[in-house]
Amino acid sequence: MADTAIPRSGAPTLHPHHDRMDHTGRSVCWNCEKTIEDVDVCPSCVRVQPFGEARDYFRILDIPERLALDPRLLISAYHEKSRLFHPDHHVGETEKEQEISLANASLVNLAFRTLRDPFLRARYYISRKRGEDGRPKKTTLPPEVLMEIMDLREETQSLTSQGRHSEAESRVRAVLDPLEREIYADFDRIDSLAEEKGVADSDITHLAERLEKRAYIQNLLAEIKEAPH
Amino acid sequence: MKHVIGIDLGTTHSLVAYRKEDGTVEVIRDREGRPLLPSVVALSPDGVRVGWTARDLINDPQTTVVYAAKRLMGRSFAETAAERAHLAYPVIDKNGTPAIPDPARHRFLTPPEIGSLILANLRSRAEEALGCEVTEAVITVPAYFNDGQRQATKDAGALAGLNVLRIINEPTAAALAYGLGEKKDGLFAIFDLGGGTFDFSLLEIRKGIFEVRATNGDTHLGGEDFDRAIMDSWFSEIPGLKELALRSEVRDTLRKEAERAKIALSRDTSVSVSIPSLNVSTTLTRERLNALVEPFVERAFASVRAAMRDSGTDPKSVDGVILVGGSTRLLRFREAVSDYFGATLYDSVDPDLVVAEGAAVQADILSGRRKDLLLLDVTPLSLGIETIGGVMSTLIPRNTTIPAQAKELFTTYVDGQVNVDIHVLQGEREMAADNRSLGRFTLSGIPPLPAGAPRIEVTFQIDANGILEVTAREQTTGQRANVVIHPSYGLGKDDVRELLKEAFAHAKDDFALRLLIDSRTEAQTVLGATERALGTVGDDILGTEERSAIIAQMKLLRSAMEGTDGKKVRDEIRTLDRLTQPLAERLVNRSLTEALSGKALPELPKEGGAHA
Repeated sequence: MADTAIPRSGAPTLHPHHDRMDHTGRSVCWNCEKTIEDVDVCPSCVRVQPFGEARDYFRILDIPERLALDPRLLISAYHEKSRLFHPDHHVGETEKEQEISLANASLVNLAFRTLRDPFLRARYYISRKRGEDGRPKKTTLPPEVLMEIMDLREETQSLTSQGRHSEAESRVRAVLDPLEREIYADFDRIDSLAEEKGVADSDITHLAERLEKRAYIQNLLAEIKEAPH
Repeated sequence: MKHVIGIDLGTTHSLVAYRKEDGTVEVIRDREGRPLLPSVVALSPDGVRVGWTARDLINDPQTTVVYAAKRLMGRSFAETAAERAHLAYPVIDKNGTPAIPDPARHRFLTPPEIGSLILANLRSRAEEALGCEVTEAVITVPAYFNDGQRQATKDAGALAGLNVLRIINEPTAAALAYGLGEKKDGLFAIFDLGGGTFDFSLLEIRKGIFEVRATNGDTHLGGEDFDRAIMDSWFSEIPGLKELALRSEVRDTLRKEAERAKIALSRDTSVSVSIPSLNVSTTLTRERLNALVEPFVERAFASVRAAMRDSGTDPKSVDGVILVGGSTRLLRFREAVSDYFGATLYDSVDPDLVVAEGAAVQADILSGRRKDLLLLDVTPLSLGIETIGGVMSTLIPRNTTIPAQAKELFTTYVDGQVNVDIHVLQGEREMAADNRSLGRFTLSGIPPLPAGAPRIEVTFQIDANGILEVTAREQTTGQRANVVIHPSYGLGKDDVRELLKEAFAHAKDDFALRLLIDSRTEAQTVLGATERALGTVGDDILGTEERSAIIAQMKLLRSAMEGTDGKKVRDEIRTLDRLTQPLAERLVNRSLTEALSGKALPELPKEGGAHA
């Protein structure tokens, strides 16, 4: 048992780990060695290229870095990249191409999985904004919000202990639904700020707090489901 | 051109399909025109038989008839206790693996070996139809098969001389064939309820991309449970019947009768059951059947609800439901499906053929000929490692699209710890011990630091085949260790290698020999028919030049038959066919003219002349 590993807080985000640079710092095609941009496929020899360091999940899928995303745009971008990189479309090619297609397709899947869910997407967006600018990383909920959640929890626990599960659920939904609407409104506001004068720290912090609060309330829903009937 | 075939290795029946030149897929039939091959192997003193002939020996006392071996596939002897109780043939424990005694040949056959006999039969069926050697295949398995069961299926393929390019899930294969046929985009729910397993998949089809959104199932749920429930109801109803049913042939009769009644109740509201030899005379109503199967329907929907939850999908957003597998014909089941989804039920596809056809579609994609189609599949079970307290920490949750990669940081538990044990697990339970162990390895050379200081990065990489590679790396020193998880199930890699060696020793000769025998037989038929035709026609129909060319070619064919090159024989047959083609046409025309003018039809050359 002493040899068992234990989880360490803070999972690393996946980064494209292929180095596209040659020794002079130019980005070159691994196959024909021509200088290329950070593109998916080399324009001269048409071989798939590993994602460069600068490809975050938005740039892996080549979609705008926004909080509000049209799901249809997201899915069609995902499918396009899957067609390009999925290993099933690279069977019988060189080992290097298969290796790149496997690594890229895995990242494409992860990018899609993260960005498809609006709340996961927002968390990712926030971590990028903070990581980029060295802003404070930790989200601490204001005491009054924590109090509100604790009160709500006491209330639902008392309801479930009386077998009134559906009442408990509607009580939680009454808080959750408007909160999610607020979050979506934040998405639009922050997206337009990003296009105009830029996003302030306070906007990000505000959104991060709402997401954190939502996570707590989501947990309450799960607790109600698991509570004995 | 190299052919990759698609195989549905079923519990009761198996099939093989391929992609035709025109891009469509087709199930290959046997010489009698039957698409299905019973998944039955008969071990008799005078030889081993597979398929229909094996099934016919079910009551032969000298023969062990092995059926439903798929249920034993890739599982330990202990895990198969429930299955074995329902099998009429002996299964012994061979080093923890189930094995079937074959006394006539002084050996024990493992489930992958039984599977390989069925696969080899399908392989030669395909080779015969395609006229070339076949070495690559895509094989389907129930979505809920674990890694060990998948690996066992792959091994069965290898033992049959097939390089298994991919194992795909049966419901996904069905959807591939279905979606391809209908050219419909949308969100589809696929129910695959066979004899012994239930699979559910939610799949989105959009412009040639088949994205599996979630999959779930129950490896112990199927039509045979319905039959058993009916039998149990008779046992409680008819005194003494249960004791009689201890005899396997009585059990067999009852099972068949239960199945018949079940099928009849999909049409009628009530069916009378009478087995005079057992003094059974009773009636089964649809209402009663519905009540008997209700617990099973409920169990199936537990899986459905889990999959819908995983994918975050509302049942009402499903555009259509595809029903696969004979047991989806049960009316109560259909009713429950309609109630839950309220969507159109599609069962126009032949539920028996569709899985093999889908496998052939995936085979076509993997052979590089279909860039317009792509299947995005998921990993059916969660993957993770054991952490302190025997808890499983999940890195890749179930229903994650593959290929997939995940990284997680771990650390040490005690001061100065220099090794960590990485125990790789698969399953949904919280405690490591309740999940399936896929393997373990040790990362050593960790600098002796206070507990919690080392940063150990664990990476899981699953490729498109679902093969998992796990890497652990200590970040400060760069020390690393990794393992490719080769799913195991009792038969080790070395055991399989030994079996393979034996198989390979024969495989090459087998194909050449089969080809020679088959082509010699065909040559006999063709020569006979041509000779008969030459004897009946005069110069008015066949010119001297043409006649002598045919005779010369017949000589060439005869001399080829004396050699041992089957391919040469086949080529000479083709040439003879080409030469006799105009004659055959003229003969057909003459018969038609004569028929029209009232004369009796002369006997046409049976095979030879008109041979394609």
